[in-house]
Amino acid sequence: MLKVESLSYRHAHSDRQALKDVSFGLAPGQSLLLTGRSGSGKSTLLAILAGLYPHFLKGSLEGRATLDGLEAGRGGVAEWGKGARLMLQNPEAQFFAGTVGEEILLTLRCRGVTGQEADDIAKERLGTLGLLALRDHSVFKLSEGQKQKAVLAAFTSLRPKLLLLDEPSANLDPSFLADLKSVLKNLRKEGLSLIVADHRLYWLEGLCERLLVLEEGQVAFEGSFGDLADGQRRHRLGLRSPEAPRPTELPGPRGLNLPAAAPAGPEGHPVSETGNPEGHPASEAASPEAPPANGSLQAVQTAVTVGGNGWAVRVENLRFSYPEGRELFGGLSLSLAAGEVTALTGPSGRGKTTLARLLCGLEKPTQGRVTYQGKPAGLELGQVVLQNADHQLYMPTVLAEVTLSLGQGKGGKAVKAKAMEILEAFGLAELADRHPQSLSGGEKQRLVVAVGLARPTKLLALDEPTSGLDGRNLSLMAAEIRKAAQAGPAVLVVTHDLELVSLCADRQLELTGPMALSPGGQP
Amino acid sequence: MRALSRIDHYRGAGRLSLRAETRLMMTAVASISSLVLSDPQALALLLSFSALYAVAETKPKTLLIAYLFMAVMCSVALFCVWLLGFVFPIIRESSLSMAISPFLRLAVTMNAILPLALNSRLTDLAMALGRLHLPGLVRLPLMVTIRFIPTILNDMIQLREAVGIRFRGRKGFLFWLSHPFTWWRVFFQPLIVRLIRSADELAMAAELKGLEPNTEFGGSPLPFSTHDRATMLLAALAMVLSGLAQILVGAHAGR
Repeated sequence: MLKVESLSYRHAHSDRQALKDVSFGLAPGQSLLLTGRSGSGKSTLLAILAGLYPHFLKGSLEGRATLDGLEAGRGGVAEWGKGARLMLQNPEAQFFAGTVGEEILLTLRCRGVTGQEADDIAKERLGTLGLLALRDHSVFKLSEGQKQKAVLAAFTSLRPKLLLLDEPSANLDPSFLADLKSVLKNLRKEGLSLIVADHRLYWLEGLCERLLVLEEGQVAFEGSFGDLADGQRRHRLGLRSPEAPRPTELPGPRGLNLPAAAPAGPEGHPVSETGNPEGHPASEAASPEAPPANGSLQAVQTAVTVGGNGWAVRVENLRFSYPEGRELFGGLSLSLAAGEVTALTGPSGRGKTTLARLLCGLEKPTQGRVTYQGKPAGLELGQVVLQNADHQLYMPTVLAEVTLSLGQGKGGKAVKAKAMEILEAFGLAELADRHPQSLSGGEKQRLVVAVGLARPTKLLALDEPTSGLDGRNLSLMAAEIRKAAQAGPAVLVVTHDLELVSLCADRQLELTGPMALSPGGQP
Repeated sequence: MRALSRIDHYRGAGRLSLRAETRLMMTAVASISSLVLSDPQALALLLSFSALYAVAETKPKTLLIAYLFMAVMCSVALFCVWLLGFVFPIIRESSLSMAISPFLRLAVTMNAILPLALNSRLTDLAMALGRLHLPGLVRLPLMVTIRFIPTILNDMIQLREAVGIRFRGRKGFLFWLSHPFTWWRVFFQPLIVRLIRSADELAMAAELKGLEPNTEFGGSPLPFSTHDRATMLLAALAMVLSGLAQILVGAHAGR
């Protein structure tokens, strides 16, 4: 039984309480959804419950957390880790072995389990989590969902009592989320208690019966998952919806969900693809039963009307192969309309990010061409905001990041005013003088998108811009993306976030077909 | 169904599929030799042998990136030495061999470490280190350090891409050569931040995994293959020849 009693925590060198008087309990086999706005203290609470205080968290702690009598912070991470395991948001950081099978064996070896006993446990875990076929595959070349399952297989091999998951849905597509949910349900049947900290809520229905909402480090609401149905409460707490938006409910004035994505012609047809037989309804072509003939990708749910501003981006007969020769796109043609937001969706590993990189000129096609209103595509006219914000921020202040993007690195009153306006829109104005690397993950994510939107461009591609955002910031981001599109460029949003799609996309392009393989890797 | 514990029966990746022990030995030989040798010509000979080993075991692109990175670091170091020369004139009077030798040593060591870091699995290394009876306090930091190298390379690639995007595709060498301070700001500063963060994350992940200094990995050794033997022979030959070069050419130069 986990007991958290009056837990308060203040980070080192900070005068702000990260957690204030948090108390709750969790019985064996129970599961808890931990949510709240970005920066509300969820990850800090998980880190304490994973035993990372005081070895890694060097601040001051009051109150206590106990798991079956053992107190967190006493006995070291390893001792506490026998009972509780934390899966970080980035599963790759937790790999130390070469293959999936070895990762489990290594975890067991760390606890002194070796030989036949270790083999038996590893096989059982691989079978339970559906990883037997991947046991000899490199952990670094798995898809995000498979990486999470590999970590889960390793961590549950030692039968911990409590499993803590930090934003497990951040990089997963809906199909992998359903898979993960089923895996977690099975683990619960084994008596495992779960605490899932996440912003995306819809996939947790039926998995987490209890709910704990944090706000500025305090418990703002405690109840059941069903309490999320109250829209006013959700709005007040800045939470997302507990219901998954259906793609058929997508808004947009330009004819979403119109059937019969016609094959691309030289003029006026928005999307075509060589594997989609002429005249087939798009939805039919997208079904798993109808894979493309040449193993390339399919486009579904395409708009057939052209925006008033005309085509901004045209892709003609695009072919792309990895260096070792494996083909990802085999003759893809599509167009993106100026002033429209196109959501590029589909399961992990199908090539969404690669397509966005090709459209922006970050990758070169093997054959075919990409043009922006007749001019060759490239980073001079295109812009892509990558997933990892840390790599994209380097100016001394938040304000300087935006002014640099506005093309006036040295500033000037008008440029600064414009930059402040952009920061205001993204809820970052108060942080204008902070160093970008000192921001929280969600704040950095908003800043890199703000920086991307600040630049004049023909094509703006955003790769998973909302993976770690709460409900309020999701709405804010969606509104800004729409506003950016209205200014003229074609906007392409690569995302697994169905809520974002429903909030801002004019049309949706879904990449289906056989899973793309990374160079030398596995699906 | 064969045993899952292939962990005990694995040869490393890389074209030569060497054992972890062989790669560790190559690293040790390169490090010790480059410490002992001081003559630039002897070091250059050692460098050519180590380059053969690195080319055989590492992807050309990775090797090129590593060399470029080293070239930049060396340029920064030389620039700082040049600046120091204004304060301490004795530095400006030092010989070319004194200036070159540290960089040759660095290159030799890098040639030996890259195949070890990129082609060996951590579990194999841990077992190999265990068989060499190294204490856990040495093994664990070494494992985390080696696990760190692919992360650094990945960070560098992503940073380079991010800079290319932000500066409208200006990735050309000449542009950055003419804007060293911009490069410092947009590449090196975020790289340092990333390195610190990644180091923290990996240390935390190791703790969460349960990796501790006293963790025993066990594992039975494999026999050395022809490639292992040939590589070790090459290492011995490199040591002897470069040692001779140090004695003969170095002594001659000394006169």
